[in-house]
Amino acid sequence: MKRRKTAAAAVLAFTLLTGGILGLAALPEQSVFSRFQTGGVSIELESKMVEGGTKKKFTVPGNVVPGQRISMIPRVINRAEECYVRAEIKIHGEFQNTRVIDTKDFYGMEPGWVRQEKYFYYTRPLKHGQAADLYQGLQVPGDWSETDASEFRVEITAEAIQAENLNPDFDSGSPWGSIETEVSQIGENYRTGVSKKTDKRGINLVYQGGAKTIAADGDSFMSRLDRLMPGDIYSDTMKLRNPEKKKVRIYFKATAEDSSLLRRMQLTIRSGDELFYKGPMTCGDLSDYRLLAELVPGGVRDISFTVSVPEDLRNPYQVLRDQVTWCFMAQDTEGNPVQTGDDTGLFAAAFIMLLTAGGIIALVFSNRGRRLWQ
Amino acid sequence: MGKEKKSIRKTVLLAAGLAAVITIGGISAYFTDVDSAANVFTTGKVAIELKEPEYNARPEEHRNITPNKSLAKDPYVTNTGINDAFVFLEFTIPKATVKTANENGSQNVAINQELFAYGISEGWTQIVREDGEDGCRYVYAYGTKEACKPLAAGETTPVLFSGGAIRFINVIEGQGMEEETLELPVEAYGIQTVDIDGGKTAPEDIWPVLENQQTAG
Repeated sequence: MKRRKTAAAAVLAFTLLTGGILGLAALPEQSVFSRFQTGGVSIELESKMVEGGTKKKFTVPGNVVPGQRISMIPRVINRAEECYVRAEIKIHGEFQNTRVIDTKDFYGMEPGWVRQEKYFYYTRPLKHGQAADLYQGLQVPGDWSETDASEFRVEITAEAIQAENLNPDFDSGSPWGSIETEVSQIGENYRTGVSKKTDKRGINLVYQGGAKTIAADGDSFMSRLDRLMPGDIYSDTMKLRNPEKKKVRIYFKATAEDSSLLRRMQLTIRSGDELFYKGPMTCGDLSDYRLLAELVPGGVRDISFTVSVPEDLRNPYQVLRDQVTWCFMAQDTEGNPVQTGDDTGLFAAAFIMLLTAGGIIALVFSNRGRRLWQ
Repeated sequence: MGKEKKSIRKTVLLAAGLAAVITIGGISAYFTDVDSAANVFTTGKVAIELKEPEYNARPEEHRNITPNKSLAKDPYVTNTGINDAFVFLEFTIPKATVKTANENGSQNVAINQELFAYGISEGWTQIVREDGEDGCRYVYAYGTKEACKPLAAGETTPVLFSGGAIRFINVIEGQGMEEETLELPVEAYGIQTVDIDGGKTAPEDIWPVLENQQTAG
């Protein structure tokens, strides 16, 4: 008798455990995703010349002579996101008995450039594909003789910085502020087009008590955040609605990769006026469900999401993509989870419980069972 | 003691943190790019050499010249530099007031005239003639009146005087020309062919630039 009871108890415990696990897994969820991609900056410096009235690729003339005007047009071309550019000219040579060549020997400087300290700054941002020519050419000093310099090198360096979130002051000695530029590795095939990141579509999540679901009017939220640049701040709003006659609790969690980009991006979530979350987009603290809002019948709650890209993000974060999934679960105030989405787990749990219950009953009252337990 | 150590440690950490914040706040980042290009220019050289090989090879012919005698006089210019050059020759023909004889022996009245007769080879164009009592100065450009002809490195102009010779005119003796030393110096000049006064190439435009350089030099 004692052994029978023990066996029955063990089976029952197993049933409850299995059913319980499957039951937990079967709590209905609604999820929407957000996708992010950072932009990039890329320029190309080329040299042109005018020959026979047409512009062509620059070739160094041989054996320049005093007073010679050399057609040499440095051109900066924008190959990625809108940017500001600047240029520095350096001249190297062993000059004897005469003045060195310097920037005042360049002629035909294009309008739109201003000089501040060692740089020439182009005062207008360049859109993708646009170019800015620095000057038309170089004139060798007329008072040179061939003994004054046998060779000299003209080196031009062009630098670019994103135009977004930057307000250069071209009247100051350092229009871009204290900036360290670095080579960009995003390649030549960067695609732009019209950015959608300023579009705010929002999303509505509506509790539907009759159908026992939370319905979303879309599967994505903040999904057009492409070409994000350092300093960008983007906000959008989810609306939670409860048109039913019962109170409902909405729970929330987020899943995201622990990526370098998401670790640097910052997320702030406000549930109404209350701060719900503030921290990195990796959302480590949101990995388990937390109560987001309790909605009375007819209640509405705005959940605002603010994503910010730090200003000190550097080139290794260019053209990176990532995704975050926002998950919602609803529970009416009687503690009953609301069905949303996939119900397979619930049915499986119920089926196992029935089978097991039936099995126990048959076992207890069968002859074989009696012999087993005796 | 333990509390003191903790306090010092806290202070050090705070200072380090502040320093980090200040450092980070001093330099901004953003997305950027850099590209550069370098070009090396070699300076050229304009150099010419005046030669009169036949003239220089026969110095004895320059002495005790007699009326109507032909002398070898073969100035030409070689470009010994690297760059093309525009080339000019300048010379002065000595003059005197003398009587000359014709072929049939008749005499001409005494006039102030050049003491040597010569022809100019094709390829040279007169651009200056300054006539004085003691001599007539000439400047010839290699090229045409419209444009100087570039002389490439290593190339040579034609000899200035046709036939490579000049002839002492048929001066009648006894006019004080005996044992007179007559000079006929020739000077050569060269200048780069590009970007002279905005890209001019006509001899009448180039020669003044050269003259000025000679004056300033």
